[in-house]
Amino acid sequence: MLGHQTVEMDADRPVWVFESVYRSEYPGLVAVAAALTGDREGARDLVQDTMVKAFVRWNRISVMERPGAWCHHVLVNACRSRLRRRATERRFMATLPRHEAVTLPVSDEVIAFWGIVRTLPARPRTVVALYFAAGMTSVEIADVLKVPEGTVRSDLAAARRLVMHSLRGDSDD
Amino acid sequence: MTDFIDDVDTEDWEEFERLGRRAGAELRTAPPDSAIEGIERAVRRRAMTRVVAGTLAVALLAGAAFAMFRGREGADDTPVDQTTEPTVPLPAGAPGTWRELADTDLPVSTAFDLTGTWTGSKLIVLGGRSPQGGSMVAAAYDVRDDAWQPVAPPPEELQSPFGSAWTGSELLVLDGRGHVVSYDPDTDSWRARSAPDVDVRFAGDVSRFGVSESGVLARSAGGWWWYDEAADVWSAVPSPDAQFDRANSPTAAAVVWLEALTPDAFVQSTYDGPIAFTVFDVSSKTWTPTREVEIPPVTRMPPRCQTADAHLVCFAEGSGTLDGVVIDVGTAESMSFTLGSHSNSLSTVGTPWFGHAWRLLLARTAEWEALPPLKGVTGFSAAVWDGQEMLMFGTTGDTGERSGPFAAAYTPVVKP
Repeated sequence: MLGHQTVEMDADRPVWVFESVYRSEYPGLVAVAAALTGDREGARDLVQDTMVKAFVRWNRISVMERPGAWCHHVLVNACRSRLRRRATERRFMATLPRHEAVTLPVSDEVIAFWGIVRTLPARPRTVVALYFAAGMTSVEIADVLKVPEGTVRSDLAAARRLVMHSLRGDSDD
Repeated sequence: MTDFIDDVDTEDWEEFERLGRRAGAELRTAPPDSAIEGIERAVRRRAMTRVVAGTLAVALLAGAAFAMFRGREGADDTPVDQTTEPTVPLPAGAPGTWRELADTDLPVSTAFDLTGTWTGSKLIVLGGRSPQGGSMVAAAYDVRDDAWQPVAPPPEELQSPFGSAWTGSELLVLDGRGHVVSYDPDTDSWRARSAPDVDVRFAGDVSRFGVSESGVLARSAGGWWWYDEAADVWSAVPSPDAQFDRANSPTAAAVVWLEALTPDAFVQSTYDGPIAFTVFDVSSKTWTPTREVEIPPVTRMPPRCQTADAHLVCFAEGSGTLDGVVIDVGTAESMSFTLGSHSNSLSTVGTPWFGHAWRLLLARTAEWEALPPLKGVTGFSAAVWDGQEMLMFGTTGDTGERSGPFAAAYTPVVKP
């Protein structure tokens, strides 16, 4: 999914064009943010914030091998901050309604899937989101999260077991 | 994508893949047509804010320089706000009160030479290796979460942080050996900046570097150098008046300091009887003529000089007192002060305040504000001004009432 769309600005230094990266990465970024936060509208805001940060640093990012990896890395950090903040808000505002914030018409099966994924520990949760929502390979996920590829594989396998058991209502592990 | 299936439950994998692919596909949406324009608008807003702030600062410095040349009395007293504006809604306590902040995971107990930098939404703390060894410490305090978060370990070559500044997108850090690195909180990653071609290592008690959000001004035995943060390039710049050469071999009576006055201006001050100072303007790469200010005769030791709200504050410990002077660099007008006992003192600077001896000085108006005691705390390591509160942190030592790291925020009565 992180396909290269370089434009030769000069012979020695191919660089990425912001708009093409934006258009190609946006769907996956929004999906990852929505999957991690459960908030589709908030996901768009997080992606816009991320891309503003990318635009400001574009001189540096445009020469990276995979600018999309940088964007996903920043987005995942922003999602973590958003979740931490939400947890803080809940601690102090116990009256907040606890509803599922996915706002777009997605199927019950999909809501259930991401609902279970969001109960996973932080790293496996992020790995699953990047794998399915952004369509990344384990190598690409390892690059985004700065962890060994084996860790990604292990997280994905563990996530699969937990998610499938939860979906089936299994009580064993 | 299932090339790494490592167990035999293929059916489970296939169902997981089917569900996951569908779950991912249903969340994907193409960007709306207006999205790119939205980004360009947001970036333009950010750029405009910085241009306005920069223009104000340059205009002010130009006015100050003009005033120096003309020697006129009185100058534009518009404050130069060096504080990074908050980018998020901030909590604040009642004026004149302390608000204790979370100190769990505040890794300062063994750190040396702590610095704190405000990014607009977070306080990033860096500490050097202690004399006994150990590692650099780094952490970020998020005011909205009231929580400290770990920061990726700084590069090995970075020694005790000499100074740091927020560039608008990264934390620029300089150590005493001339290493410049930057930290990007969005990616939680560090990157090395280009190294100077000359030896600009920190020497003795002479401050040879000034760090601001636009770069680093450094002085070596062979001359003066400017590091442009945006271009990642070091270049030679003119030296100031010859009289400052005497500080090349500092003695007890001739000491030189270099501090960022605003993002685009630095003040160099020396002490050799009077305080002498000159301002370096980054955009024109020029120094203003040197001015001198007599300091109070009660001062017994060579003073230290620091900046607060575009003013120079120089102070020295006397016999049981702290004597000092606040200098308006635009007019060279000065106001001396003497504080009582300096034991158990607060020694910190957080623009626009200068703090010492449990008092805050608003440099622009020379107003002092006494701080109420904070139980068990005898001093702070560093502080930053976040736009509403002074965020302070450090270690208490063992006071009997409390010990270990702590952090607190003070809301001043007098507003900058």
